[in-house]
Parts: sequence; structure tokens; C-alpha cells
Amino acid sequence: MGGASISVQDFVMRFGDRDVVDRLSFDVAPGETFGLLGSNGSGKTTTIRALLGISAPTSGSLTIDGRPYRPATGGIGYLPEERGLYRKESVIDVMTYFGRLRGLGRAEAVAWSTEYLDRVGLADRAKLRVDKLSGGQQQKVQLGITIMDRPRLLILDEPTKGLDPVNRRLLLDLVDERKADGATVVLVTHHMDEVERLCDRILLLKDGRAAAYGTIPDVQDAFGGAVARVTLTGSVPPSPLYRVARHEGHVADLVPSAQAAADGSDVLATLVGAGVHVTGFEMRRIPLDEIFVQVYGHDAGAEVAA
Amino acid sequence: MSRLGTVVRFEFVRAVKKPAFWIGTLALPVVIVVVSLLVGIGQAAGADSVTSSSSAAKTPFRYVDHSGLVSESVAAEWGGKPSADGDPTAERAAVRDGRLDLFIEFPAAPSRDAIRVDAADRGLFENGGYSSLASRVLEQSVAESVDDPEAVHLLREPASTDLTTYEDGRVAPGWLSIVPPLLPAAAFFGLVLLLAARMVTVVVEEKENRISEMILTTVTAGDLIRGKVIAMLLVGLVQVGVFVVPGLAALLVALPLVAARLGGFVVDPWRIVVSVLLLVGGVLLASGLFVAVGAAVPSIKDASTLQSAAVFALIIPLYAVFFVMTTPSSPVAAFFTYFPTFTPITAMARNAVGALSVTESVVCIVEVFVVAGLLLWFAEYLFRHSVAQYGSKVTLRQIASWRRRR
Repeated sequence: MGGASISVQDFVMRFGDRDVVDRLSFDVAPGETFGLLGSNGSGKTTTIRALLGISAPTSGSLTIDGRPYRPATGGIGYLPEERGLYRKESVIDVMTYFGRLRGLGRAEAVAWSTEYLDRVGLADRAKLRVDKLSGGQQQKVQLGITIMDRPRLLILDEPTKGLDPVNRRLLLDLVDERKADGATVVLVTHHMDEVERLCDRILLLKDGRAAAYGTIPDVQDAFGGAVARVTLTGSVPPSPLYRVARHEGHVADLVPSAQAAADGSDVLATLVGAGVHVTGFEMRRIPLDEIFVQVYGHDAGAEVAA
Repeated sequence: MSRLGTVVRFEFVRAVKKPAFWIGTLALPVVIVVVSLLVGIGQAAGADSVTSSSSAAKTPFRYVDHSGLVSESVAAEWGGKPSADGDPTAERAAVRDGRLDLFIEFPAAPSRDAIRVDAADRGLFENGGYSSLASRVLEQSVAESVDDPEAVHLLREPASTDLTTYEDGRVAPGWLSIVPPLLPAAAFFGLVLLLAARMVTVVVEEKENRISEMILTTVTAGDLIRGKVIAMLLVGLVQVGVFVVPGLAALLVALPLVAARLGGFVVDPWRIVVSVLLLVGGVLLASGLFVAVGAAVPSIKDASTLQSAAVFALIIPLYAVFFVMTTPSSPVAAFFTYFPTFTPITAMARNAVGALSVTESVVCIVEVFVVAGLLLWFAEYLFRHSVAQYGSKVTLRQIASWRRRR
């Protein structure tokens, strides 16, 4: 079973006098894992809601497999950032209800839910009310509902938020399985390590506009392309040739400024000249979290053409 | 099963399977029955108490009779003696000073003037026995002078009547005939009270629990809200059944006992049809109101004020219903009849007593269904646009912006 394709063209969403999303365009190919990134209020959730037909766009076209999405179409698993369940119903009843709404037969929905709960260690909680479960357990149930009918498109908004490392790993494994099954995955997250691990392409949204769009290397290259990773002893002296992006222990990431040489030789010379004991120096692509800081922490941004 | 059917089934089953539902549903009729029994028993006990206190009150008393109707022998049977000096003022002073328990002054014309009774206080309930005693003495004295048991009986107790009236050659409806067309009004009242909280709760639930986005990828907002409304109406039917079945049974038992006194019992099919249509339309109208309330707020806590306003808007006519039934042609009655949320109860009440013409009936039914349709449409519109709006109420400005975006 192949994944679904997404096409968003000239999407505008206006609330009052403000354009929350302004002429946004992007595509997601079938089977691709796509990262939709952005700070709070940048328009990610608005875009997803419009894509799923939950809210109507002011203008523009948002399609899944070439058509505006309707619930009757099915094949979508959406785990929203705002999460909840019918708290006073039993776990198995809630899962069965969603399974029925997703087009499964009753027996099929019960069987699938039972098997899933067993896998995620909640088999003995099946008949408990949802509000008797811990937050992490509820999230597992929500994820189960999201992937229930092997959706062709999985949209996960901050899926690992609030999860401990074990459950985070479990969740990412489940997503990997869906990817391996050919599903298209749209991932909304602030965890850049998840993006680097899972995503083929990304879109950075800022104030409702695309601040960056493309494969991860493309975006990294577009943002100056390189960062100097230095292994050193002592502190990094200030210099107009670089900016300290990160300094943890003996490792520092320095972002060369425009006047620095592309190979970083003058950065290294500056450090050595200042008496810093450098034991390692490597030019590498700028990490995504540095790009994130550049886009959202500063006004400097870069439009990267698709 | 369609998605709509799935929603209906889920909402209905989870509502009726809860013990709290049955406790709430059964509590009201049980409370009504228990309270009625207590009141009945209390009234019977009160009547017995009055009877016994008046019959056993052979209290020594003195009296002055200006009418000449009081028999000394009858008065003596009740413990009475004529005043020795015939001075009411002195006798009253004796009562006031505690030297005499009871003094009765029969006026010259008891049919016109009250019998004056002065007595030692025995408490609110026991004091009634003094008046009973005075009346009984006079009544028995008069009866003694009439030498005819039947006449005496009639003097003591009015004759019962068996009333049958005719209209166009057929038996006309009596008081009892208002009961069948009033049953839908009672059902409407009960449904409004029982459905209000339930309807608002299920509508606001997805927002309150942050489920909206997940569920809206599987079912449209329209199907979701329609499913909820249908499920709640089915729940309401179950609740009405719980009321109606014992109600009808009680009616069938009570009917023969009171039928003769209350005139002909006629089931007018037109009135029944009108009442049932007003009930159906009224319940839909109420549902539209409650769904709109649920759709406009982010949580059940925020709904309480609007919910109370909606309930009041529907049941306030109860306070004016007697006036409206007795003066159906007044402007006030017209206002209550045609103000949309007042129409169901007012029109059903007027229809029950035969004070709603055919034309008025048709107008009211059409109005109720049209307003219900508009309200349900508006409620669905509100729900569709606000279902994923967490944490804030819908404002008029927002509604205007939705319309502009269309």
C-alpha cells in the first residue's frame, strides 16, 4: 500500500485582519517523511487543520492525493498536539469507536485494539476508564488510534511531547514501521534530532511563510552551509569572524561570519592566536537546531527555493 | 454501519449504560410519587384531625343566640349553655381572663354575618375546631327543625352531579379531556429539564477533552453533531417512556373514579395530533438551543449561564399558562403563543383546553418547526466552525468573520 501525496498551493489563512498563513506552497511526495517545523504561532497547526478540512482556507488549494480531504476518504492518521480522549469511557470502547469511524468492523476494531494494547503493555488496562491511565499511557492509546487502520498518511504533531525516553523510542519505532509500510509521514516537532533521524525533507515556517524548504542538506547549505566544530580546552574568545552556537564541555560549534574564509582557516588561526588549546577542528554542515535559532531567534533568515 | 450510525450508537449506548442515567431517570418519577403520597397522607391526616377535633370538642361553652335558630338541646350535646345574663361583652372578658374556654355569639342573620367565636388559644391547628363546633351547632339546630332526612342531608352536603354537555349533537369534551393533549406538554417539560445538561455536555465534550481534531479526520462535524442530537433524542425517548408508562397506567386507574364529576371524556384526535407535533417540534427547537449553547462554549463550566437562560426561555410560559388559557384572545396571550421559545408550552396548553383554533394550531406548528430547523442549522454551523476552538467562547465578531470568509 503506497503513501499519500500532499499538495499545498498559495494557501492563505486570514484571522481578522491578520494573515496567519501567507501564500504558502509545498508538496509532499508519496512515501516521504516530511518535517513541518516552526516556532509556536508560525502557522503549522493552521496548515494541518486546513489540509484536513477541519477549517476552511481563506484562499489557496490544499489537497491529499489530488483532492481536498474529506473524512469519508479515510486513510489518514492524525495525532494532534492538543490531545485528549473520552475520559469517562473505557480504553477498549474508545479505541473500538474510533476503529468503527475509520471503517473497521466491530470485531476487527476490537481485535486490532487488543493486539495493540498488548504490544504497548496496556493489555490489563483495556477495560479501565481512560482517566484512570497516566498521561503517557493515554498517549499510547492516542497513537494506537492514529495508526489504527494502517493509514497511508500519518500526521504527527509533537508526537513525543511529554514522553519518557522508553516510550519515545516505542513511538518512533511505530512510526518507522508505518514508514517501512510505505506510508507518508508528516512530522511536526521541535526536536531537531528527530527531524534529522526521520525526515527526508523539511519546511520551516515563520510567520506563516516558508523560511526554508527542501532536503536537509539543501536547507543546511542555504543557511551558510557550515559550522566549525572545535574540540578545545578553555573558553572561546569573542571574534567578528564567528559566533558561538553551542559550547558544551570541550566541544564548541562556531558559526563563521560572512567575512570568514569558507574553509575556516582564519577561525582556527584566531583561536590558536588567542592561546586556546585546540585538539580538534572540523568544518561540517550547520546543524538544524542552529538554523532554527537563526530563523526564529534572530530575524536573519533565508528563503530557500524548492 | 455509517459513520452517523456509529456516532448515534456510541453516544446512545454510553448514555444509557451508566447507572447514573437510570438513577437520574427513575429518581424524578419516584420522587413525584413519594411526594404525592406524603401530601395525600398528610391531607387525609389533617382532615381527620379537623374532624376529630371538632367532633370531640365537647368543650364547655356559653353562647348568645340573636338568630333564634340555635336549639338548646343541640347546643347542650356539644357542651353549650346559653349565657346567663346574655351579655357578650362580659362573656368575652371571661374568655380573655381565662375563666371561660369558649364563647359563641350567633348573629341575627348567620347567612349574612359571621358567627363570632372567642376562645382560649389551643394552637393554630386545634383552634380550627372552635369554628367547626360553632358551625356544627348551628347546622344541626337548623336540621333539627326540618323534618325530612333527605332535606337534612342536602343541607349538609351538596348533591353530586353527573355532567354531560353536547356540541353539534355529540358529547363535548369535559375537564378530563384536557389530560391526553396535556401529556405531551408534560413530556416536553420533563424532556427540557432532562435533556438540557446532557445535550450541552455531549456537544461540548470534544472541545473540553481536546478530541475534536482527531475525530474530525474520521467523521464530518455535521455527522458528528447530528449523531449526537439523534442519540440524545433517543435517550430522551427512553426517559419519557419511563414517565409516560406509569403515567398512563395511573390515568387508566383514576379515570373511572373521577370521570363522572368532570364531564364527558372525549379524545379529540385533532388536539392529540397538534400536541404531538408541537412536542416533536418543541423538542427539536430545544435541542437546537442546547446544541448552540454547547457549540458556543469551550467547557461545560462555561455553559451554565447560557444553559440556564435556554431552559428559562423554554419553560417561562408555565408561569403565565393559566392566564393564557383563560384569556386566549389577549395581546399577552398572543405574545406568549407566538414568541418562538414560548410557543411549545403555550400552544400545547391552549390546545389542551380547546382555546387554539385550527389556524392558530397550524401557524404554531409551522413556526416551531421552522424555528427549530433554523436553530439546528445555526447550532451545526457554530459547532462546525468552533469544534476545534479550545479554551475560548465563540464571539459575535468571530461569527461575522466566518460569514465573510465564506
